[in-house]
Amino acid sequence: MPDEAKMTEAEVATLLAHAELPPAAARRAHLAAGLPGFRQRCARLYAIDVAGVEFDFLRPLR
Amino acid sequence: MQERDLLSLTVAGAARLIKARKLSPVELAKATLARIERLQPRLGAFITVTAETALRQARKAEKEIVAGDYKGPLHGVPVTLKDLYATKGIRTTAGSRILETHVPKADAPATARLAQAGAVLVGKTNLHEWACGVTTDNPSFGRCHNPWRHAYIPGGSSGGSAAAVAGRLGLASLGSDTGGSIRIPAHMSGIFGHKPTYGLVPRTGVFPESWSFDHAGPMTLTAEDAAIVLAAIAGPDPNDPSCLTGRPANPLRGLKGGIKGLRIGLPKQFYFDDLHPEVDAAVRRAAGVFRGLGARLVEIDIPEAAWGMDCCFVIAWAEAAHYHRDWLRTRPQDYGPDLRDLLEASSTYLASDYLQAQRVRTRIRRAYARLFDKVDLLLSPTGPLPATPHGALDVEVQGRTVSVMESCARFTAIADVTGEPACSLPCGFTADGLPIGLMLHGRVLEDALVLRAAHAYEQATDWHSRLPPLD
Repeated sequence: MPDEAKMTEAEVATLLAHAELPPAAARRAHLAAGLPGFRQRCARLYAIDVAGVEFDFLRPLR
Repeated sequence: MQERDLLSLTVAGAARLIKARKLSPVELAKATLARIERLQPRLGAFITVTAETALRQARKAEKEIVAGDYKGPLHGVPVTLKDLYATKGIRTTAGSRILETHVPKADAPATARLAQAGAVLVGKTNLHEWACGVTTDNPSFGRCHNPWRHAYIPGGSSGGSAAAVAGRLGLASLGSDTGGSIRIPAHMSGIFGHKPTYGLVPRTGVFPESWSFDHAGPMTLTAEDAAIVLAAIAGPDPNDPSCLTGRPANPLRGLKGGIKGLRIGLPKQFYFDDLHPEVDAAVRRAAGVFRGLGARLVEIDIPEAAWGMDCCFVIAWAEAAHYHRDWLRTRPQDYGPDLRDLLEASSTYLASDYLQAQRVRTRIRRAYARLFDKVDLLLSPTGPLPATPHGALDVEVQGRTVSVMESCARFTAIADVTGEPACSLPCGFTADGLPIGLMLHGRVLEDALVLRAAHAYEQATDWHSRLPPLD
């Protein structure tokens, strides 16, 4: 995973290509500023212990 | 009937007059439409005004009532729908340029149930584009304004519904709530909003943001009105597999039973961190009102609350990016810049990110289920801040800069994660005249208890009957 505070335009281009989004060169710098926040959110979630939570998220009210 | 006569009406109050034939549904519809015509340029609350439909439905209602066929408390009452709900033969845009000419062939079940109850549809309300945001500054259909202060957001995404109800442009509305989109605008616009238990109200025919979290529900002036609307729209739907199959409890039953002995949890952390001081003071005063009504306040610890926003954000935006996948590739120019940014960025979430968030969701849900062994309801602010000025992307909270979206949904997202019922109701105003809402959050399927507690609070206070400065 890249250094989340510093995402480059090339990394943004790679991520967008992986998501099959059309190239938007003019928008890469803009997204490079916003995407690290999205990765940081995931990093905070990965820090939570979810051992033993395997099936019941499929039935949210049970 | 004069336009000013609308100012003192609620659904329940109008219903009593209509049933007694002291108020004509046609006159009520005409007065409401005249008020919409006058205030729509100022509020931007509507995408489509359905005057012809309204007058036709009102005449039908009047004829039925005169003939002795009274259907109940929504019969002849003017209502609005967030323009996310399908309406047969009436344009339904989801606040998007992509759907600006979309006319559904069938009503959403919630739409149809309101019509079956005899409600009169006066218009489809403005919303944040695709219900994906909190400002209701819509790039295609215009900015919706807060009825209390013009330069401020009404909240969102159901901002038009909140502005319409607060402005008395229809006595009730249906909104939708994925991270707080019923309760945030209710808080910011000074009305009542109820997010029902997940699956209580069908979402068929309601354009999705996130299948895991989307809830349809009422936005009204009072808890009693919300119970009336909820009773009409709740119930199974074979076309929405997430919809609960049992017959729902009537939320009106026991509404006036009071709250003596109820255990109300006051969180020690998270929900009271980094609040606007006037919000903090108003909600703590409200807690005192609940104590005075006989409830027992219990301090509680719920550290898992701090995970709610991240969990909700990742799941909801991953699902939204998936829903918008094709349009994002073929019509990216037809999205507003803020939504396009969010959807493109959310398209990069990995399957693993989504599954981790779903597993965290289960941990949060288990924690809240344990919490509700100790208390009957949770009391908190609906949001840390009152309404913010239009155009403000970031705000200062106790010296920290946070995004408006992050701030608005900080407390509301949790009940979308757990699927539990939660409402927002007015509990005060800032010195600047902006409304403040408190949130009551209860156990799964205990919507009636949430509404009963809210009703008890309304009987002891008058915040819900204040009028915005529109007249």
